[in-house]
Amino acid sequence: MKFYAFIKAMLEAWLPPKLLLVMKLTTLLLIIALVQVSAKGYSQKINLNVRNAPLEKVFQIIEKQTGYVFFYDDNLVQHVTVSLQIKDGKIEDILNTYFKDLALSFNIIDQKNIVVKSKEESVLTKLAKYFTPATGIKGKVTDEKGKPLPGVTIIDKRTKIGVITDRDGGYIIQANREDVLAFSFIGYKTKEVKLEEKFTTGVYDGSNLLVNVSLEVNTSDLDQVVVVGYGTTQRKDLTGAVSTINTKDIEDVPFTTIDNALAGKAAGVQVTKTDGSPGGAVRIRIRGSSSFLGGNDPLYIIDGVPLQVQSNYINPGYDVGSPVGNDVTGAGGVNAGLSTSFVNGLNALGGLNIDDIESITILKDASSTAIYGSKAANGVVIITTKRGKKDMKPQIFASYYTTVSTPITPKVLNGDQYRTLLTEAAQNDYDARTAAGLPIPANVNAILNSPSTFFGTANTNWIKEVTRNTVSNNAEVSIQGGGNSSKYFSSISYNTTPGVVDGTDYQRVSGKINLENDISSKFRFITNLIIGYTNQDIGDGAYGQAIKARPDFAPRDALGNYTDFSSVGASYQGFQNPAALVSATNNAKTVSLLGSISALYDITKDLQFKSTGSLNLQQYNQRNYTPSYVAIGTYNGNASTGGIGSNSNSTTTSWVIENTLTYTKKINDKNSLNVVAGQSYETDKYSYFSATGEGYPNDNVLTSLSSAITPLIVKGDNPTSPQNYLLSFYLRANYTYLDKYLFTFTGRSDASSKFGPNNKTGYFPSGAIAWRISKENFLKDVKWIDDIKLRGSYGLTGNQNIGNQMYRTLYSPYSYAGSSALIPTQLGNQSIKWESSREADGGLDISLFNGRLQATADYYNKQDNDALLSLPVAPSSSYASVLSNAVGIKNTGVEVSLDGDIIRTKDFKWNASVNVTWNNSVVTKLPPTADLGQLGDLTGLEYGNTTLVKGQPLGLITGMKVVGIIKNQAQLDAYKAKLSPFWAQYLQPTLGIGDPMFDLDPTTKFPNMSEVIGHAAPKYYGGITQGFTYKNFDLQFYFTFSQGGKLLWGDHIASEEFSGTANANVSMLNRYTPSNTNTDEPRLLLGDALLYKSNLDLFNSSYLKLRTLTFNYHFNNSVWMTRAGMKNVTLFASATNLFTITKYPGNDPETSDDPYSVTGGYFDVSNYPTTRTYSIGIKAGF
Amino acid sequence: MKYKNIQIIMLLLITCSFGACKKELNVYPTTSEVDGNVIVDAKSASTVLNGVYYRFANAGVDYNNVPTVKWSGVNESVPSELSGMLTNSSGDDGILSFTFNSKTSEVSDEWSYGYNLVNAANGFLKNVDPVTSIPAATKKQMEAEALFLRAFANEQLLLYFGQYNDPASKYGIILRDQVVSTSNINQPRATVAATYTSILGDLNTAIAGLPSLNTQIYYTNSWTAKLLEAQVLINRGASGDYAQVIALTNDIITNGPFSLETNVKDVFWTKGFASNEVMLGVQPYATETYKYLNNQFYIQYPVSDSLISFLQNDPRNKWVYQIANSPYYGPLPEFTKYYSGDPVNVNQTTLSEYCYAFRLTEAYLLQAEAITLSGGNLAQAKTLLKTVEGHAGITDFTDVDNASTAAALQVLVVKEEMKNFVGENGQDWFALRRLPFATMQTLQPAIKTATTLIFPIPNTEITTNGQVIQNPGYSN
Repeated sequence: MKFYAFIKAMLEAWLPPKLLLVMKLTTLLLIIALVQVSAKGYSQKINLNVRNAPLEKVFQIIEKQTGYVFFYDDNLVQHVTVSLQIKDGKIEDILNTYFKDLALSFNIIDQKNIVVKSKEESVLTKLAKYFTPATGIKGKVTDEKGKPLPGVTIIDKRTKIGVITDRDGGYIIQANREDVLAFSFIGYKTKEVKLEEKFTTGVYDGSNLLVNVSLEVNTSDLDQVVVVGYGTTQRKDLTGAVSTINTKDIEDVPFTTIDNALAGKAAGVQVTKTDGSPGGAVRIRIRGSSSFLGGNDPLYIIDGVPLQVQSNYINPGYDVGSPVGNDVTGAGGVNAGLSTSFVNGLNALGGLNIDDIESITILKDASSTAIYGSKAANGVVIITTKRGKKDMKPQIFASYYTTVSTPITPKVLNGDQYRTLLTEAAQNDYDARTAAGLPIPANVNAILNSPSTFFGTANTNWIKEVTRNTVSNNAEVSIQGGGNSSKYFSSISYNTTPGVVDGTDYQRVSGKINLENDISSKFRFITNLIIGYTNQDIGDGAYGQAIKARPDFAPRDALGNYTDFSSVGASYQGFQNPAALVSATNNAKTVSLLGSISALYDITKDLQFKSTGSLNLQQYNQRNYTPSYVAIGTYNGNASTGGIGSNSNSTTTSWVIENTLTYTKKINDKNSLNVVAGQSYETDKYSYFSATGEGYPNDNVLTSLSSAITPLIVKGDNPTSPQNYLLSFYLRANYTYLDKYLFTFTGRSDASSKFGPNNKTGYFPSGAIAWRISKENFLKDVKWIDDIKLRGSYGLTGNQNIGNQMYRTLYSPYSYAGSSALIPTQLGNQSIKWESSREADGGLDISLFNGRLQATADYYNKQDNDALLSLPVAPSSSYASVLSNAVGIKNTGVEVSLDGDIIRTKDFKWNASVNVTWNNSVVTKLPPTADLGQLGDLTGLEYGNTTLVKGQPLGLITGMKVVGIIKNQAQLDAYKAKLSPFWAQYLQPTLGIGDPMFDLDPTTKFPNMSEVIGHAAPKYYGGITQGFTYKNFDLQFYFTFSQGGKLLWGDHIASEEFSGTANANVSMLNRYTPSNTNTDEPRLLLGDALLYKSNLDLFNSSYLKLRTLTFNYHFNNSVWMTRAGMKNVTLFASATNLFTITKYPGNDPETSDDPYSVTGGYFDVSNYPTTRTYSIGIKAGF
Repeated sequence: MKYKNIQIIMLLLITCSFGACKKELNVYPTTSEVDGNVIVDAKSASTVLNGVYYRFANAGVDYNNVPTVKWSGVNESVPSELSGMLTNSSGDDGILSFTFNSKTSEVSDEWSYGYNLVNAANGFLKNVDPVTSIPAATKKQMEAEALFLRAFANEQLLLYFGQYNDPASKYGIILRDQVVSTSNINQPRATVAATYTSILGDLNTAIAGLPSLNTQIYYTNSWTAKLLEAQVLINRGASGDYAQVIALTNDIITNGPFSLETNVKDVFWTKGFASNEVMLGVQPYATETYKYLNNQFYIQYPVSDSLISFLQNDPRNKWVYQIANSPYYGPLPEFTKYYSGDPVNVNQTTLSEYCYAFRLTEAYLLQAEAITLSGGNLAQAKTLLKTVEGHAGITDFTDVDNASTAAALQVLVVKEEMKNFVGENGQDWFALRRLPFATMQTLQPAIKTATTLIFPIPNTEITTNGQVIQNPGYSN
């Protein structure tokens, strides 16, 4: 048994284990001495598991188990009930620890008789009682759920007089105004009530002051209830790899979306915010990526409603140029300004307010996820939101905070630096061309010979021009309460966050309603609705343009028009005036609704039936207008005539009907069983409409679609019935033997409309075993060990997050000669089947020193051998490829998390936690002919710039390899000798000292353009939290880190050499010159240098970031609060991104270009600056 | 609620979802049709058949995703680069210099074009077959159209990739008469003889089922099928083939509803499909710009010196090409056969995107050539040639009159075919190849060896389809 008393008494501060061993004996002696029994002690063990049982009955059980006999007066124990859970306890401990709060004394006589008496009043007590006039205090004591608690001891701390609550939790006691009453009950936290305060508010029942009290259950971390798939369990009974997140830690931090708040909070969960766009998308991977085509985001279960993350962005058929995109891909004509902004700016979880969340559980291994079968391969995040409480008066919580955000921006060349370097680049080119006998390009001549006409006179800070500091606001109100047979929770929150880039804004209204009604004692009804509305102005890459914009150009010309940037580079390079881009309209509105209705029926005491109908609805509306003075990118240059705009909308509807039966039975002391069996029926429907038109009368008012003169694109689908169906049956059985050996079996069968007739159904079994080694005889007496548990699991999970109808041979509608035409466009493969992941997991959970130190370690091996990918087929089939289960990917890793209270005293507490994950994703099977163009690449930046190679990890970046800078004639000659004469003569005739030497292809002797230049995936990552509590103050530091990863810094490519005549990062100042030869950066050579991504642009992205710093001050109850009707008030302040320790020279090492991509995500495309924020707020309960 | 009621509800819920699911798990798409269900009546049949024509026109999208007919990509520039009539302003693309290999993109495009058309035709034939609600005559005509289009595709494939002039050769094409499924993707090549049998078989059925004129000139007719048969036979050149070519073309010229345009220039510059000379056209989309951009905006395929010399003293040298300044390459002989506008300050014209698959002129020239090849009456052949040249505006026929041997006259006929069909439908290239090898080389010096007269099988076909053998002289 556990010695809480020992811990409480002796372990206020951290003690080393050796000292503990010494003290253990002393304490034991003390305890023995305190117990009024002979030193021999008793060997009989007592096992008790009772709830609200009459004390008399407990005595009888103990008598039976030990042979002791209790002697007592019936009146003394009448109405006294206790709740006890004791394993192998000793009589003296029970009497001294568990019964100590009862107003009774126990004396053991003759080692077999126990005499029970009322605790005697001391003389002093009697005296005090005699002299002080007392008032009657009356009330009711209840538990958290509002159920009356009989048998609670109430002691006046001054007089030491005590009473016990009756059957209905009622009590009456005499006390003075200055007295403090202590309410204590076994299994509950003792609560002290200062009567002074109660007298002030003064609610009376007759002549008695009314003081109602509710007690909180005192649970250790091991008893903590953890939400798992289709049910809950206690932490100690978990057999799988499951992480939970303390929602207190993420409250009131301006992260906006829940996925963003998860970073660094749980081992095995990698979270990267793609960029600083407010409310934007987050790249999240649980134990790596497991699918090529199917998406790799985890499945979210929000109050039982499944949600699969996807981007709502609808391509309007045009885009704007992205200079950094051009640099990253090494190709001109990349038009990804709009698409990158939308893909990174939209977040499918945006409608959920973090502060509505009650608990977050992350299921990681196959055993815990397999109950979600075909959707579980990427892990499952279960989120439950707050609910009402029974018998609770309405409580209102309100909070408000305001946030100041500033962009963290890079340094680019100022006007003078720009002029100097561009002139140097032109001079170098002039010299090189003259030496090679080549004609001098017009712009080189212009820069050198007529700089006054070539250069503008301005000195514009373009980054400042398009960015700003902003103030955002967040306000929320919630109300919680309940009566005898119903309870409720509802909330509403409003958030407005102006983006730090001009023309970008984020607004959200989100709320929830939860209603629970007990129709009868056996039948319950639950309604839950979460509604979110986000309104975002997303932008189109103005910031990316700003870091490239010529500083000698002013935003507007002499006539007041936006300065024309077409002279900066060729049209396919897409340079534009950033200020003009800001004036475009790019708005997205999303309404999301997660709703469910459940009916629960207790068929018997052990068997519960639950039926739930739920709806996940997303209504998306996108509006784009690009004014006539902004060029849109097409293959043939600007194709916009008189502005181009589009309206798009989509509706995603997923219905789930689910029925489960839960059987929980403690068969006897040794065996207990929990079985969940269920069935679910799920449908998905996606309808959309999008129209694009061009030719608008003006750019300020008449920009709606109906003003367009030329319709360009109309597309849409609005089916009457869903496009895919999933029918599932599942079962999970947990069996526990002796509370020591735990077994879990889970199985699920999923039949999906996405697969061919012979492969519709997939089966996903899994099993797990856990052994609570600390319960074994050799460990159970080690008092500082709470729990040591070994876990092992193995199972199969699946992925069906692929397109519909992939197995069929399809004809698609086109037109020819003005009539409809149907063309065979997809070759169906009837034999495609479920992608399945086999995952083995071995884990260890440790809890020591009464929960003061907790550790969890896991090793996993997740192997996906039959991931889907389209492979090329003979072109004589008329098809390019056919889908098959042809590829494989393996994730192995180790996760460790530690959590401990380093100092735990009454006033001061220091808690620290750390988690680290080492993950390695390797492609195990991939035919070399596979065309990687089919992989998800929403922003269009991945294909050809990252690659997958069998046997290699994910995150390979391709490009050129620079082996060094040519520093003298000898090196130049040697390099030229190795280089193909054709290359040296025609492609790089200006090659000279200061230029980079590339790794050459051995056959062509050309520089190799697509070598693997880097492994971008980090080696390990995680989070560190340091929390301090002193009296009413809380302070929390929260760090995230990532080690061993790489990022391709897009802006660096064109900061090695000028792209067109666009501006560059200050890193260019370190270029090679005759006086600066000790550098990696090549010399400047305007227009004749090879501008292509290379290993020079790849940087270590390891970092340690103080992601948030939060500070809370809880006010003591005081008169002004009472007057204002407040029950509690907290002031809080937080800051995000305060500092980052990194060698990464770009803006922020935590960035991603595409949250959905499997191959990439490792490009820094400077789409939106990271922000640093400072918030201050207040939270109050009424 | 009673325990029993709950049980009943549970049972109901579970059985409902079971019963409903058979159908739902087999849910059909809403934005596409499923093979097997795609034709249900005459209307859907004509939509699927129109899809076969879509493939015939090589329709798709341009670089900006604008719907575009890309007939010119496979049937205009590539064969005329091979015949040496057009060149490429970007430099040698491997086609110009006959250095193409199995990975050259134009080679793959030609291959895919043919098979896209074959599979679309097979898809129509398979899906229309079981449908009984279509009137028999309508169904017969539609099937005939699909068979014609399949024969056309197979002919193209054979002429580009097979040893078409050696009926004993094993290097035919992959013959597909079934719709492609995962179980029949990889097939070996058929023999040349079998390929001809298949094409002629399709054509015979097609001719029987096709109308004399279809509803539109971009849908085929029996005369066009006969002209295609004549094309096939003149390229096979087996015994009796030339006589049949003469008979077929004679039938077309005398009995067909078509007549030569007074001046052939009017077909391309003013009349388009309104010209009575057009036997089968390819209809462009109203919004497309592809061919105009290639020919005029980028001057991608200017005419060659060799065509310029062919057209000396030929009135066609005023309009088939005009000198224009390319912003990229300087002055170039811009190919203006389809473009009646200003060659320098270019602006798209109504007919600049139109394409012509079959014209009556071909019947005249094929007959003239067949006469020279079969030792027939040269005077008759000369008349045919002069008729065609007369319609091109030529008045001086001295060289025709002076041609005293069949061989000399064949050269003149072939040269006219090259001039007449430059950048049009590949007949310039196929005609050139019918000359003796040495003569061919004098007209097109880029040809170095006979093996390069046909393309290699594309590399992806060899690697993915294990059963296909490469053409002699090529590596995989």
